[in-house]
Amino acid sequence: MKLKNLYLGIIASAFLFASCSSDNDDNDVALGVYDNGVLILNEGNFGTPNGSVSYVSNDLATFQNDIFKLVNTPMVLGDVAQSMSFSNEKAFIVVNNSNEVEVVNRYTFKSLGTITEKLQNPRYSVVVNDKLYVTNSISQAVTVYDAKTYAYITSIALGKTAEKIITANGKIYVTNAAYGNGSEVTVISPSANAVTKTITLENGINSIEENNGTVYVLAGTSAKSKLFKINTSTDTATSFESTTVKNAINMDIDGDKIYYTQGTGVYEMNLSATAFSDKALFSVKDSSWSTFYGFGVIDGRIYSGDANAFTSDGTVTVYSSTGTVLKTLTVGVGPNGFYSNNN
Amino acid sequence: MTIKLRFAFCLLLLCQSILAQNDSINKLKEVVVSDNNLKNFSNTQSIQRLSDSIISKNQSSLTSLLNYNTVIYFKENGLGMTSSPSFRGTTSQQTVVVWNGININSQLLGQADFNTISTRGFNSIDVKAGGGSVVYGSGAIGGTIHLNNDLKFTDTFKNDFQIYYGEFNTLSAIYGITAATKKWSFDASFTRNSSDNDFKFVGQEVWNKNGQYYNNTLDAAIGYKINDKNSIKFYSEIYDGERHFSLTSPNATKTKYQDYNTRNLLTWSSSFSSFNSNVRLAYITEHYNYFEDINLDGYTSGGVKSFIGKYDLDYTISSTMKISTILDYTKNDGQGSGIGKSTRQIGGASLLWKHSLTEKWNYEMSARKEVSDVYKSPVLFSVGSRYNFSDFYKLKFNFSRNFRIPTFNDLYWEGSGNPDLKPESSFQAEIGNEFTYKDFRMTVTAYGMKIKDMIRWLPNNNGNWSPENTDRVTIYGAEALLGWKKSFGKNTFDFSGTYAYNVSLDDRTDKQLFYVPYHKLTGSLSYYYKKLSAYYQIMYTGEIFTTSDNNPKYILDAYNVSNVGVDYNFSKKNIFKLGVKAANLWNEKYEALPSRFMPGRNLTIYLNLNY
Repeated sequence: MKLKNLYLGIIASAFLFASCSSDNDDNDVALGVYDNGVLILNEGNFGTPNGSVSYVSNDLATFQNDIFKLVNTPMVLGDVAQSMSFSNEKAFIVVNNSNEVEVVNRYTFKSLGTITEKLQNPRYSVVVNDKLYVTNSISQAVTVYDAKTYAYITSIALGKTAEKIITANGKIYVTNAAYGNGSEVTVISPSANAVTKTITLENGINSIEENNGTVYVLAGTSAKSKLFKINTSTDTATSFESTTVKNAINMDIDGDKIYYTQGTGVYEMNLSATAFSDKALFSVKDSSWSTFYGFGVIDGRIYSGDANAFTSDGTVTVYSSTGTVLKTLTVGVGPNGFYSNNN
Repeated sequence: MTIKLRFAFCLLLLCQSILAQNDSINKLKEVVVSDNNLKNFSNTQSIQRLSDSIISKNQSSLTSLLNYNTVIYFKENGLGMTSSPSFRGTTSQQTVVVWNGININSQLLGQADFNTISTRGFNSIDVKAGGGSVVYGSGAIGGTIHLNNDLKFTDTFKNDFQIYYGEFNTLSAIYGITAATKKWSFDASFTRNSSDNDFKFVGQEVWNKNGQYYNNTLDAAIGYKINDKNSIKFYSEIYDGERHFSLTSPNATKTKYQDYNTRNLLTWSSSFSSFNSNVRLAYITEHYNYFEDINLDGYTSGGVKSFIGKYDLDYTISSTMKISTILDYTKNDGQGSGIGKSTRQIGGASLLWKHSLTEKWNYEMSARKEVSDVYKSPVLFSVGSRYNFSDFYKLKFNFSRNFRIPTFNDLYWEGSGNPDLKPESSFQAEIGNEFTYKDFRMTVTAYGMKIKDMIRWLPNNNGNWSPENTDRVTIYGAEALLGWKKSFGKNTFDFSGTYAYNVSLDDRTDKQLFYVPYHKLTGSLSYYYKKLSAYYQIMYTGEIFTTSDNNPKYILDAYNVSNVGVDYNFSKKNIFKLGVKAANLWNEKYEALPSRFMPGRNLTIYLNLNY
């Protein structure tokens, strides 16, 4: 759900297709029409195969909804597009309720294959050493696939909630927490495909991020918020907490800043901080529900995905770091994550 | 929801001008209806009666029966899957199913699942449009659906057997027995429905996967007339069903859902001088098991057990005035995954008044107040009047306030429930025009309502979902019911039709509520020639918005589905009928909800025996 970058505005799809070489600020040559921008994942309605992906270019000038369908009709992305991970030119889209991982070229969005084996309500994924690791909520296991052939390799049973998954220092870290409940992080060795350690933190874990070899874990409850930093050499954690900032969620690291939200406020602190900031950078208007259903910070811009209660298309608002609205986009149903897509 | 209050009273005086349907009841004096309040006190609103012959012509689910014969729109998640109504543009929780006078909507969900109610065990089903919370309690805003086991006190002994078998290995069978004397009456039936439900989607190389279901229903009703002044009746129903939920993507995890519901009702009616009293004791249980993955043993479950006690006392002041009171008490004990263990108690009192000013003009008034340990309840009321201009034309008016209380899930769901919810409440008015000429009957009713504090589950900024009293809605529309029967020599034609135009606006956005069509139309033409009968049905549903912003990109197309059937009775005196019918005759491709395709043309053969 929620990670990286930014975007923009609106342009007809015809234009998009016509111009594979649309120029960007950067000098690099685009590898596809969906290069040099931000991918927005819209999970869709639970029980209905209407998950979708939207694209907005880094200058926020080019915008396109439903790019998977546009490129791959008659294929549909599926029911609850939960998360995405990347490896080289590939994107792996985890489709939770469809029990599928759709593999696409991240720049052209052409379908490359569909993984279905052993998936039981897959949630999140990460690629390490050309292997795709996927967490599954029903089987409470991490299933492993060859990221090139998509062949199933093995399953790593956790026997407890398996939710977010990242890699750091050559290892894999899985949060054993979902919907604000759970207090552990499981460490997996990719060479052995086995659990090597369980780190017990505190209840309320909702986010996990890697930066420069350190794993950051955010836990928020109605009583407090707590940030853990896991030293990935020893797999031990240090922490600090705040009882004035409660229910902090949506941690995202961009540059040297840690961002998070509380209620309708967006907050930031330095990576080196030793205390939470309780002063919001800015607050968004709570004009509807679920304003931060999706949240991400990419290159200093803050992206919010408002699910509009899942009764209509979602709204993505792009803010500057001071809260100025740079762009408002109508995306698909239930925008839950933002992914920087630059070659 | 539900359960609470139901009932009522007031009655009016009877100027015999009730609805045509009620007239037929009145002619059959020996029939004892299960719900006096419906008969006596709904004279200023519209009631449509679906008789047993209509019930047997339709599929056995309540969804199918009402879809093809009434203005109600159904949100059906695929054939046989969960199904909920929108009646007069209201939400699923704003229509109540009333079993022999008792509100049986789920206490957990606030709504009835119309695919877990089998129709063939009932003698008749009445559809009453409009508010009815004073009598039937929570949820009676859009309308109420009445399932009736009526008892006969004439010497009778009948066996009834019906079996229907169709494509996709779909079976529906019912065996019923009716036995009665002038003092005793007994009526019981057993119904079995099952299907593989693996139909092919029209125009696609895709089949309905994991849609199989079965259900069994046992119904019984026993009546005993102790003497001229006292009688006792007992009604019972047991429903046991299992449905797999069909998939919308091919590799999705297969799930299934089991329902086990029981309903028991004991009534004692007595009359003394100008009083009539009715004591009713009901015990209703609902229970579900949900299997998140049919390959695993684990499941979540929940249920509510409800006790309802109700006392009605009617006093006939004079031939033109009647007053009634109702006192009732309801206790709901809920337990299950997500809601833990919770109890709710509700007490209520209603007063009803009915008065005939002249032979042609009467009015009725009623009010109800209930007290609960969980929520605050407004004073509910209903006032109505009817004027008979002539045999040809009657005018009716009704104004009422109704409500819907929060469900167990709304209040108690772990981590999400909101104990501060208020009931949804409505003010509503309707004007009905009833025209009768020989064998032709037409009712045209215009209505309007304002509903506030609508309860909706919304994701909040803590990453959680929780119910809130949010929306206000304005609804207006009109519905027409038409009936006509004509014989030409040995040929008899019987036509009935319904049409509704409905606008339901969210006051904040001024957009039509989603999953409420503007137009719905049904029509049914039956033809009889000697022992041959044939019928043709159509059901048209206009386009439906699926999003709150009415985005045209996501509109579900209108659909028009027809069924046709023909049968012949080979018996001279009784019934020995063989028949065949084709559903979705023109192979229309349609979905009632997004990605929930319905079957194309399919055939059923059937046999009905009655001796």
